Amino acid sequence: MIRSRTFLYRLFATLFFCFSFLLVGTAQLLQQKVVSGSYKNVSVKQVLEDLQSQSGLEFSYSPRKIPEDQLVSFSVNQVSLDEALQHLFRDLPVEFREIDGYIILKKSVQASKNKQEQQTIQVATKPQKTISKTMPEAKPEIYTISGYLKDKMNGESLPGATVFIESSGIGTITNEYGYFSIKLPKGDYVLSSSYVGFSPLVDSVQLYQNQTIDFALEAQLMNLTEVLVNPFQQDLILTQLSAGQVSVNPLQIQKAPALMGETDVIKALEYIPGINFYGEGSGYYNVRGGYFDQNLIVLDEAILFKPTHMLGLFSPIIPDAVKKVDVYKADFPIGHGGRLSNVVDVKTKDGNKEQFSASGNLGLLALRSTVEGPIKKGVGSYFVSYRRSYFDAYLKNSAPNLNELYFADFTGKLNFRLGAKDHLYLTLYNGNDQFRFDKRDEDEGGADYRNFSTTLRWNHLFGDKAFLNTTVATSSYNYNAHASIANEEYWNSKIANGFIKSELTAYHKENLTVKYGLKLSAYEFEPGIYHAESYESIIEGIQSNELILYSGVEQKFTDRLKLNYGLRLVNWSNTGRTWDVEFDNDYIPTTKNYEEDEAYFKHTSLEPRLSLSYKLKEATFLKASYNRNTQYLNLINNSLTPFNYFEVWLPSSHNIAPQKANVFNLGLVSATKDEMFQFQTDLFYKVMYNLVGYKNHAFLLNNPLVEGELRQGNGDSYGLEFNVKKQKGKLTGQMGYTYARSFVWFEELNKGDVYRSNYDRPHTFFINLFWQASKRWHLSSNLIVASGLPITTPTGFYYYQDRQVPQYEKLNNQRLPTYQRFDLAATFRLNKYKRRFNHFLNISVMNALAHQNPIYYYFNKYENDQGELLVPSDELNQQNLTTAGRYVYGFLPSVSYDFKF
Amino acid sequence: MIAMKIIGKIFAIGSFVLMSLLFVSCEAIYDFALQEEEENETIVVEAFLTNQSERQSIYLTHLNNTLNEVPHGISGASVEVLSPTRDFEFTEGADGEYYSYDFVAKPNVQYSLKIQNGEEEYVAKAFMGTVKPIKEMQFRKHGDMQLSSYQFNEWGEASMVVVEYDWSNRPQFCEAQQSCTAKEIIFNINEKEFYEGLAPDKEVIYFPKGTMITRTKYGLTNEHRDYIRSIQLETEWRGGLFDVQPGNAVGNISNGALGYFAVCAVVKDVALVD
Repeated sequence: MIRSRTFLYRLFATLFFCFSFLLVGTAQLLQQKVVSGSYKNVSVKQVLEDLQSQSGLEFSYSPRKIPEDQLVSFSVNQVSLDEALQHLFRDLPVEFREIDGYIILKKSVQASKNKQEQQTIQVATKPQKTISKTMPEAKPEIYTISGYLKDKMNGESLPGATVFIESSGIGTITNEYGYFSIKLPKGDYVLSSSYVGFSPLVDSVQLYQNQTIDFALEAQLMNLTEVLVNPFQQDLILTQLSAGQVSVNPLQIQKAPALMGETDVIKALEYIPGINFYGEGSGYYNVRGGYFDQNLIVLDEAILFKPTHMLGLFSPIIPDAVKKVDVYKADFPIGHGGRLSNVVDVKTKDGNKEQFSASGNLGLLALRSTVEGPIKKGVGSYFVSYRRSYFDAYLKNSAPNLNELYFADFTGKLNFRLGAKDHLYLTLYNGNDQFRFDKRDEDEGGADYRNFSTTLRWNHLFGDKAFLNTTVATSSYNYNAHASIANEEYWNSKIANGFIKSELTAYHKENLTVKYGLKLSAYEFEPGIYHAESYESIIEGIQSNELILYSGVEQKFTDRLKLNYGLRLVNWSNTGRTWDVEFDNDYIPTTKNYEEDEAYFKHTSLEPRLSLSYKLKEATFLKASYNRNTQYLNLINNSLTPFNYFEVWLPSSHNIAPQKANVFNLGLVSATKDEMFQFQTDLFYKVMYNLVGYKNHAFLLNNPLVEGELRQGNGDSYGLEFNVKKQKGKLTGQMGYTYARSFVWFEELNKGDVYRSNYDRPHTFFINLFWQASKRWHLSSNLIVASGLPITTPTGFYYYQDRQVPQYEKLNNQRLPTYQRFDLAATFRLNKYKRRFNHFLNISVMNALAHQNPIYYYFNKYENDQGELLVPSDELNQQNLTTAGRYVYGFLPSVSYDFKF
Repeated sequence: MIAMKIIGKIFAIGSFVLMSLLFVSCEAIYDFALQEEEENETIVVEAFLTNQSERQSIYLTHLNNTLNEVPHGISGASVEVLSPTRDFEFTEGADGEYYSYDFVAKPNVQYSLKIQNGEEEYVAKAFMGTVKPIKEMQFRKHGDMQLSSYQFNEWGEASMVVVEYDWSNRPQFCEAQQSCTAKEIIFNINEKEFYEGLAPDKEVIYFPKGTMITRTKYGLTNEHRDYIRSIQLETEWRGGLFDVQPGNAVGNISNGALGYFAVCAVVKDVALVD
């Protein structure tokens, strides 16, 4: 009772603290601030600067829309700021208002109306439009407007931005390279382009021939509520959103609470409904009850096989290098597949195309730096980011046997524009962990692993009607556990992939886009082979080949209904082994011999994809999707904890049937008219076949018959997810709740009965808040409360050779306690005014309420007189055993320093 | 300059926090109520018969419901070990023990265990596990304490070594330890077993000069070794950072009985620690 009261108290206190952010209101500062001044033939800009300095309020406006060079004369004495501004703009087409402590200046509505009227007249008087209405049988001349959207400041392309005709709402979303293409009848149009966090750009286009136009959008200084949202634009964004899709904002990640100051792209996925992490220390996550290996993480299309550093405490993706992260839980893009549960598509930055810039961070554990700039203006740019931990420096004194303990990441990117129709991108990523210690016999032991990937992408435009992307990529994960460095004795687990893929996007009509893709992929597996001079392993490597053909159609049938449908054909084969074993129903192996290049396992699968988007009303869409996914890769790991690195990748084979899933999703996405709030809810059902399980205490390592240790079964999961985002204003954030269940059944496990999967969390609730408290202070907080994960606990004990052995009745019969964590972060800009060089101090507190979240329990230790928990040895003087467990960290503060210029 | 000061402070704080993270225990005792099962009739058989001419015991107990519960012996059962040439009937002793002075295991003979407990019958079969000669005893001295600990060096074969310590000729040490004897059971499963290397800390038995150490080494068959590996994964090797999924140790006795029927060749040696 006391325990539950304490929990309720903590929960209440935490919620109170979170919502206290919300209660900080914005006062009507325009009336409160008193100013004076006498201006004679002074520019508007100078007056604004003077009023800004007197009032302490910041003015936000676009110089293109405000006549800041206009000279004015007036004087005021001890009047409100409101009155002073009225004087200033008395004869100018400018209106102002105060939002969230900022004074927003914009062109007056009357001025805009006048312009709109002119545009309307232009469109209304177009002869072509009239012809199309009165003579429907006459085919209008169709032309294409195409081009790229980019950030004006640094030239970064803007994927997912909207481009549309203001009057009709016809428009599109830029693809992942920032490219768009719209087909329209000949005529004059007002084209609007916009992107989250950027000021919209409106331009007129005379479309009497195919046109290529690149738009450069200007980033808003603040994420203000003032920016008006065109309903067409909002509908475009919501239409484009796939069922179960979420985008993660890398800028927010950088301001979020971070473990030891290391902001983390992968850990940020924790705040997406339906995604759960095992605990604080885990880099592995599961999506809607799926296993870890059912998640596909791609970094510029190359697969990232191991998303962790240091046993999972950190992720290998440097946030500074990330431009966009798209997370798909149900309706995967047609070009992605091969996993059952999730795709995380990470796109890196291209590099500043306008000027050299740099940034850096010094945290408690690591330092990182980034440089970027144009190679040649208008031709290309580079981006280089490097991070290395330095905690080995701390540990030298306390652990003299430690020689190396660090992780490092390098991300580099080059991109070149090869004329108007071709663009080349080269990305290179290398991340490694290194651990070396002295052994007693003048030898070293340790472990190391590396994620490595390269991607070369070539974009080519076939006129304005087709966009071709060809990618050549390699990626690998290579783990070595060294028994002896001197004698070169080590255990190796490796997976490598290389592929070439071409995807053609054809913009057939304004309502029809078709993608055609071909991918040839090869895998190499080294499934846990022990290397030593005195030992010859009989485990052989495996090669697999994969051919994928796909086509996906995006078709808008009416203004309300849009369908995406497609099909993937996947052909898989294994080669490389000269022998293999096949197990019968009693797991008796039979050896079969093969020629070296002979394909000894082949499988073909068809993966239909179907999704629907239906507009119920303005800014409210119903989403439904069905995906069938097949997975040929299996991560073999029977660990209870998320820390175990002794794991191997194995392809499907005669003994491991390919995993399959049918994924259904029904969702609703809606936004308020001002785009302030976005609401998303998803109802899902996923049924999975041929999941991989393990027999009791399976012998997985260095076992040539490892496939005989595996068991296959089925599973399903279902749930309901809610998410509300506040996207604008000084206070942004999101709140989510998920109810989800996940079950599995294996004929040979748990007596054949259905049981809760390892990732069954019925309830998950979270809040993230980001508050721009002042010009220099930014505060953020996370709160997460979730049901404990299932655990298998003993229902009895017996003695064997004086040891108390646990006996289990059912798998996952109990749960860990409710998981709860509250994190806080504050970022303070050290320079008083924004300059080219800005630097910041970040303070983070993870688990601010110091709540212990155990990740597992065990029952085999006793507490000695020194308070240590030990496994007993003395069988004659037996100690009472106790229930013990492990948690990753308690209250954990950290501080880091950032700079940018 | 400000930046340099900040860097210096970050380094100092980092040192403290990292040490806290890595070295302050993340292990804790929890008050966790295990799910209670209804009364369970499952029996546990511990049969470690040897080639020694001595009292051979088979223990029959019930499965306990709770941790640290004293085992409850089963009485009134009929226990027999059958061989192609002779059947051995075991006599009931105290606390679930069934014993025989006649049984001496021989190599290459299949032995069958037959237990009749009420209406239930349990059977198991086993061959004798062979054993290699025991290696010279090794100790490790521990600094100023004038104490030593036993160093296991029987790698290379699947075995169980029972190490019995007797320091009764050192009464002061007896008093300090509140006992004059200790016993340690060490399993070696003779494989490159990663989990053994990743096992959590285990209590170390220290002994003084003059301690009498008796070692008994039991040879294990491959099947028995696999069973012992399961036992180790559930007992000695649990509680580290890399634990495997929990599971039951599956023995060789029929009808759902727990435990294992093993027949082992045995070698012994005795040493006085000088």
